[in-house]
Amino acid sequence: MYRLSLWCILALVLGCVPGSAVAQVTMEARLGLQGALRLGKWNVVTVQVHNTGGAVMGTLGVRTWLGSEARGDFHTTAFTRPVELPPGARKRFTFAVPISGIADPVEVTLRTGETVLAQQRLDLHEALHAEQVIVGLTQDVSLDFLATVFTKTHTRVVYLPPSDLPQHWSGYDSVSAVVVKGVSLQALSTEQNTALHAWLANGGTLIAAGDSQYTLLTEPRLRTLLPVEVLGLQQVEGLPAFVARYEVPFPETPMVVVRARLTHGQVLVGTSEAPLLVQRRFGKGRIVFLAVDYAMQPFSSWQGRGALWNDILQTPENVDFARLFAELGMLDETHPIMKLFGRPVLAFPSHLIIAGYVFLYCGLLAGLFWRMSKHQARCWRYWGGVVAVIVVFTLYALSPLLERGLNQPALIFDVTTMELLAETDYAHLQGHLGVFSVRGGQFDLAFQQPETILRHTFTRGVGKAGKDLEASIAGRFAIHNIALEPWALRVFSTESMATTPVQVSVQPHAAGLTIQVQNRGALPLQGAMVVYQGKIFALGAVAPGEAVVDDLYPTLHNAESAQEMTWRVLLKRRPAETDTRLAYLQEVLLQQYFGDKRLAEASETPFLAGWLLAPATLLTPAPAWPAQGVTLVVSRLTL
Amino acid sequence: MVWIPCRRAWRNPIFHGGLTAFAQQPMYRSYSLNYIAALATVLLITWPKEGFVNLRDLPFTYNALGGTTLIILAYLNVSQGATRFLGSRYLSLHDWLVLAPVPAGRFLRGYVAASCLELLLFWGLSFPLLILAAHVSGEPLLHLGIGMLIILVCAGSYRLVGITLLTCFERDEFLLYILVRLLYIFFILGSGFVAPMYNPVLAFADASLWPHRLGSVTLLGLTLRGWVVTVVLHLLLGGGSFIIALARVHWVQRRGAARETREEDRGHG
Repeated sequence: MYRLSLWCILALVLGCVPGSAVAQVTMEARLGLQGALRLGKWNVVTVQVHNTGGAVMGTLGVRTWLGSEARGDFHTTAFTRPVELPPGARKRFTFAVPISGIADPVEVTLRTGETVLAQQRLDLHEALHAEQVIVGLTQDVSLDFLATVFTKTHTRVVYLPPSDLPQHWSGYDSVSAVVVKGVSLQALSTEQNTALHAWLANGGTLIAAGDSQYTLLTEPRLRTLLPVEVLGLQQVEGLPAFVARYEVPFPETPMVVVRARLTHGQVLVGTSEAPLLVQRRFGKGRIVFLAVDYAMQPFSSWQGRGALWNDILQTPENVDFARLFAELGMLDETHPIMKLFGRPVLAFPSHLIIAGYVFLYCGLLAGLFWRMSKHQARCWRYWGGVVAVIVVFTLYALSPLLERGLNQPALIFDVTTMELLAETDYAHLQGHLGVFSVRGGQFDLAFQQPETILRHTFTRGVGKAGKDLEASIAGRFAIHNIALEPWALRVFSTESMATTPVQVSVQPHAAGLTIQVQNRGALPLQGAMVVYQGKIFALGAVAPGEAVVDDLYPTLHNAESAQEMTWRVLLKRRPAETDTRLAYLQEVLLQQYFGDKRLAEASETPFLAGWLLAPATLLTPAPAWPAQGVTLVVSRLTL
Repeated sequence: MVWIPCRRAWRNPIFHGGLTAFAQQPMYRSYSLNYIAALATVLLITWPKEGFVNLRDLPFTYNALGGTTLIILAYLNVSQGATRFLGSRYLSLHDWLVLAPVPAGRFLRGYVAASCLELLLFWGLSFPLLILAAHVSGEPLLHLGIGMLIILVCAGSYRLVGITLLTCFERDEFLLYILVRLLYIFFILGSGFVAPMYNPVLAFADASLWPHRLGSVTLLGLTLRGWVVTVVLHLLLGGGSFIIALARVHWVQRRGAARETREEDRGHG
């Protein structure tokens, strides 16, 4: 009996101990790819958690400080994900977070409810900053020389095992190029492989260099990407083609290079039957094949390798004014959402309707009062009439005479440009979002793509905006805690990659082009048109699941005025049946994408343009806050 | 609960007489038409011209119309409250109390209720126009409801102030004329600088989307918004005025009764 009582007391005491006291968690967070950081980009934060206590269900968050006090857009964003740590668990979590300055640390916190289990602050002063980060998937460390090749661009080389490559394309945001030599890509997980492809399609550079283990270049994952078919190894006497291109002598000693044959792409050095340096476009990115093992002597000591790597990496040496202006907030006023707010996006009842309403109201009252003065004995009846007039006009004013947009908690706009990336199955989506709070409140935005990058955010309006955003990256990407006072606007710029909903293929022929547009998405592609040689060819609507094939003959079509701006011409040709307010969204998108280029200039490369009359970045937030949106689909056609 | 005071008011002979007079007097009709025309003009002038969202300025229509309504109703209620609306202008309060032998409280309640009919008419007439203004200014119906409450309470309290002035200074028309205007200027203009919590127009704006410039007051651990304090202060003003008016009516009634007794005594003597 006494023993039972003791057990009961012990159980009671244990039950009263809070969970945090039982949980023993150690956490270690690391910044960047092996500590290398690129400011203004999304960088990787890797968090290792070890639970030596009881089971923990909590939230792991990484908080970064962005914006500037001077511009008034200083804010924090906490990227959170739920974590489950069974007893003894040791887990690694990777976040990609935006880092724009070194003044404030990155804060990593593990908490259950309100209890903080572990917290670490990562001082950005101690990080290895770079303007260019090159990832080496190599067996050796022979890329170190690249740090000294680029004099104007501070470059860091990071050697990663394939298992450490990002699982998410946003993890590559700080990376300029990936160099593969003597390492198999077959070991990558499906997520890593998809992330690599998405990053390449969005502008990354992959360099596959020759190595004695040339068979690795013939493995399926790399073979599908390479611009060449690798045949084997061959011995050559010097590299006269490199000497000719870079005008730097090369010792004529025997050396081994990878023997290959061009399949698609552009030969930079060598011939199509014996290419030494080849590149191919992959969406907005490039894949470069270098037949030579750059780590082998005498190539590794060759004086021309600086020029060669400049050619391979195509590093911009100029100042990125667009980025500088964006950082200074000078581009905020030209943001599509700001332009949209310069358009009459609301639909107030007209003065005529209101004047009619008021005249009718006053007229009826005057009539009743006049009758009242004529028939004093029946004045009670007319007073009843006055009450009835007030009630009827009140009810009428309540329902149809209102501005719908202002009578909901928030106006949410999503104008997105979807660029179909040629030769890939990807589309790059650039979302411009605006949440305008009429009456104030807290809002959440859920995104269609789980892998969305939040590039920039700022606020405008009379009311103030909350400075603590929360981005949930578990499953679906969502931004929570968008706190806005009445009459405040928060603008977001986002980027995401998605599987292309529209497949475009084009074949040139003697008199023009044969184009095939296949809509694999769920929404109809409306107002599809091709701009080619200053002429516009309307393809019309392409229903979901349908394919349209058309032959375009520029000589048979009348040209639009070459002096007219492309966006104006495309706006004129937009689907006619659309809502007039939607036209403002379309106008803003066209202006943003095509700028002030004239039709003749814009059509140097033929392109397809069309419309998805629905938001492509945001999911419908809630029935109470419907998002108005339109998506411009653009595909540059490679002939 | 609501029905009982209504039934009592209906049975009040003073209210009954006042209701009949109100229904038949043409003055209120012309006033109300002018009032609606003025509000309609303000509405049309401040109506948004195009469908732009002006990010730098908050919508103006609702507060402009609400402010105008308050400015007009405040003047009408102080001045009309201080004007005798039953019987001849030569009939004094004492005469009334002699002619209608009812208790002072009943007399005053009936008179106030009848006098407030005008306030209710004007308040109701502005309702449809304020709804229109609220809809184009993004104001929710809750804000509109609070705005209408502020208008009703403030205008009602000014009506009671006017009635109190009438009961106290009914014989001195010049003093009444001056006091009414001075009080009106203080309520609408001066209080905005001296005691902002007392200003009905600021309270109306405070209960809208506009920034809450009146702030808040913490009383006994309860935080009250600025407009709530304004409503409470006006209820106190109205209640205090009613008590003063009641005391005055009692005093007039008692003094009249005493004078009659003295005259009777003198007659008997």
